[in-house]
Amino acid sequence: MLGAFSAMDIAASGLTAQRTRMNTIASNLANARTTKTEDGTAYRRIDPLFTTVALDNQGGITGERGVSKVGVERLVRDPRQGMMVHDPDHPDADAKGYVEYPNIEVVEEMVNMITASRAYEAGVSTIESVKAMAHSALEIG
Amino acid sequence: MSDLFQNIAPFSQALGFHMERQNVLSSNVAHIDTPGYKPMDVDRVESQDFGQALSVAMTRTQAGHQTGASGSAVTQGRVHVSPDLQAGLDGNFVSLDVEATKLAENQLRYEVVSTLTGTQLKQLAYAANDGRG
Repeated sequence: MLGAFSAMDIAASGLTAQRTRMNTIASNLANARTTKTEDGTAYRRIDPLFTTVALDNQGGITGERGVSKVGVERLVRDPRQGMMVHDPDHPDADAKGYVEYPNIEVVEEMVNMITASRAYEAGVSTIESVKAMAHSALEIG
Repeated sequence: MSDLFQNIAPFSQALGFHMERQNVLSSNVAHIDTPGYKPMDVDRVESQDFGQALSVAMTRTQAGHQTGASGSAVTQGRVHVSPDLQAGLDGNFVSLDVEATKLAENQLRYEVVSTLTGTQLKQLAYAANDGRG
């Protein structure tokens, strides 16, 4: 049976997912000039890949597919190559004297940040709406 | 079950239906960034009409008719993928404004039914108190 609390659970999973996204954006922006990661290559931007997660106990409504929570399947590394700058004195320069900088566009990250922020707000207002419904149910009688 | 509360049962089913729909719509909003996700909605199953919940006394005029006891009206929903979808760049079909409108509408419907339920119960209380409020 789907009730007020399962709706809040679902919305909360969306909030968690958007917060994960916000973390990756923060990581991308923080590492916008990181030329060396653990494996020796330049930092490349990461994106969370969202997927559906089944609710623990589905039931109630008849249909082929019920509702689902959202979860982060994994973080995906953006394969695009970053800017190559000729700087032979740089410690991370390759044999030809080029340094690869991260493939991060600040504008792109900002746009993603606004999207994540708005999606988070949408989730919050969903919870507000469910709360109002549960509240009006409590006022019966 | 006594006939005293037979008018309440359809209301609680309607409340259940709207709460389930709210779950489905919440799920859509949560999946606003899930690639390939298609938003879903709930329809009432055919012939299940909330009008039945409002008809206080339905009489059977012929033996072949279905019983009109409003307590027997089960509000059932069918989950389906919303029609007229438009895909975004990541193959996600969720449109925030559509879902937000549905959420607000569904919330309002829930509150209307909830108010009606309260009114029904207050009527019973009024009768039980011999009409003295």
